[in-house]
Amino acid sequence: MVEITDKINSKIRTITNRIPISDKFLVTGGPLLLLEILFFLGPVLIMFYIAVIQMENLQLVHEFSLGNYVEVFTGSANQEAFKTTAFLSMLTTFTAAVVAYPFAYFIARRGGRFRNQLLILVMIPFWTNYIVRVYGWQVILGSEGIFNSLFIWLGVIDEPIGWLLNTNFSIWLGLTYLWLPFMILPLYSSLEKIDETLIEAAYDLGATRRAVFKRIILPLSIPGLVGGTIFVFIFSMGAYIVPSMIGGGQLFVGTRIAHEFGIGGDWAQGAALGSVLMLVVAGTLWSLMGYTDMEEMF
Amino acid sequence: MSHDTETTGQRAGENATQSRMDRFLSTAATIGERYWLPVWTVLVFAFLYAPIVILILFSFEQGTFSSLPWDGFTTRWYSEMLNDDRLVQATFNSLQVAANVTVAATILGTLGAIALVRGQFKRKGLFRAIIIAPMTIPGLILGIALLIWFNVIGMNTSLMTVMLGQLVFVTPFVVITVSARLRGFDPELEEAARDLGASKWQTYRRVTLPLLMPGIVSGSLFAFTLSFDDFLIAFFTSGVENTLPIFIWSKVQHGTDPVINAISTMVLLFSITLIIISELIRR
Repeated sequence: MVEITDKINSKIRTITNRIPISDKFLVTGGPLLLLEILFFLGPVLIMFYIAVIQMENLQLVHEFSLGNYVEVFTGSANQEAFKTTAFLSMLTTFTAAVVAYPFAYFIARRGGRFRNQLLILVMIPFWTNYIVRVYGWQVILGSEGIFNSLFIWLGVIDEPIGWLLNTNFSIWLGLTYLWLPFMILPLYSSLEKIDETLIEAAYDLGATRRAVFKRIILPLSIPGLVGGTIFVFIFSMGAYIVPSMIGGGQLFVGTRIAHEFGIGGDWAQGAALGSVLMLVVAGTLWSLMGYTDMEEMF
Repeated sequence: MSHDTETTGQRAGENATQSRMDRFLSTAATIGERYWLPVWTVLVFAFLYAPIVILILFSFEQGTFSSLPWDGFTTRWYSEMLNDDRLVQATFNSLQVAANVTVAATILGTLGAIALVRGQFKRKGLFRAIIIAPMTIPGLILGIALLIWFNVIGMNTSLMTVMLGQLVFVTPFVVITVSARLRGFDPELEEAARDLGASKWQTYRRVTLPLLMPGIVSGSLFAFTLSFDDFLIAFFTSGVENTLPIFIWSKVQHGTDPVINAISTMVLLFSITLIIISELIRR
């Protein structure tokens, strides 16, 4: 009897020894890992599966077909949506970088003793409710909004400017506005780390301001620039709130997906659109992640 | 002779103008170089705060349309806001969800940070990737994926599913905040405590935890804000229940309304307070 228990015990020991995780990890990292497997990896994988089956009369039918993917690439609304989304996302990423760079540089290198206070001022819009902030732009840009009413009152214009709201312009403005802090914060953290003595040494050796920027500051800020680009591009590609609230009826990937899960009632088609979007996200991360350190950004 | 003097004089005059012009241009350039960065910074701040300031100002404006010129001061929209039962219910739901998510995310996230920084195991890179990925994928994708998932595993969508869904992306933020703190302190402090005879538990309670506290508190405040402000996960996984962002969303669909300005102002001030406290603790 004792022999058998010993045997079983040693068997168990060999099995547990073979699992590369310690029991300590099971207590600390285990619960979080389980959460992410159950409610992150699971859902994302099931989305890829749903994309290759069908939805008929609001019921999922387990019939394999690539038809939904074909529709993603050939349907005219989807094609149009992907084109607009990709174009506006690239434009937004570029604009955010151009706007954020001098700003982050100023706070990081010239902020002096107010640096932390200025940084908190950046964090505030970053963490406050995004629906409320996008709604704020609706109030500003509408045909009876703040901007138009102010300039009509001042006599600068006679009629409200119509293209301020519910156009590609307002989507571009809204996305740039919403994701700007995601560009500022990584840029700040890499600009702040640059050693002042490097810059001084370059000046001592006779470098011009332009040369110092081009050969020292810019190369050393690449991790921040890449980090910001990753966030702004990915979040713009997957945006739903901005195109839906201030984008009028412009075709956008996010609104197409939400449509399929709402009134459209075709989850399988929505999942296919979501899967393609997910692949774009993964591809962006995969190709750019090596140039930056994601953990240091927050 | 006279012709000569005239040209010389003229040339001298030209030279003077030239050099004055040069000096002016170079001062302008220096001033420009010195001041364009601060001016740019102020403009970007103005851009970041424009909608926030406008909403707060116009929540006190009398006119039904939020437009200029200013019609007069009123607190009417705030009293109308307080009489809306659906709003009160939605706010209560949001607070309840956020409180639960905060507690769970703080515990899971702190433990996860310990595993991430101190743990020695194979495939740590994979563990890190699984923690970071939920923060980088768009909320829309996570929202629809969770909707499908809950449907497939047969879980009815309610506030419970909202909490589970929010935990997925909120917990990583706590992990990052706490692990930054954990990396910053010397493990020798713990070893010293053990050498002086403290038990493992005593060391945790008297040394590790107090040192981690600022990270844990600011992480939990972030968790609360993230959950309280989340729209996308709640939108897809809340079923018939309303949270505050969903309520605001449905109200916004009918166009601008000064009552929304009042609600927005309350939401903004609430989050701003939490963030300032959190940042002051963290830095």
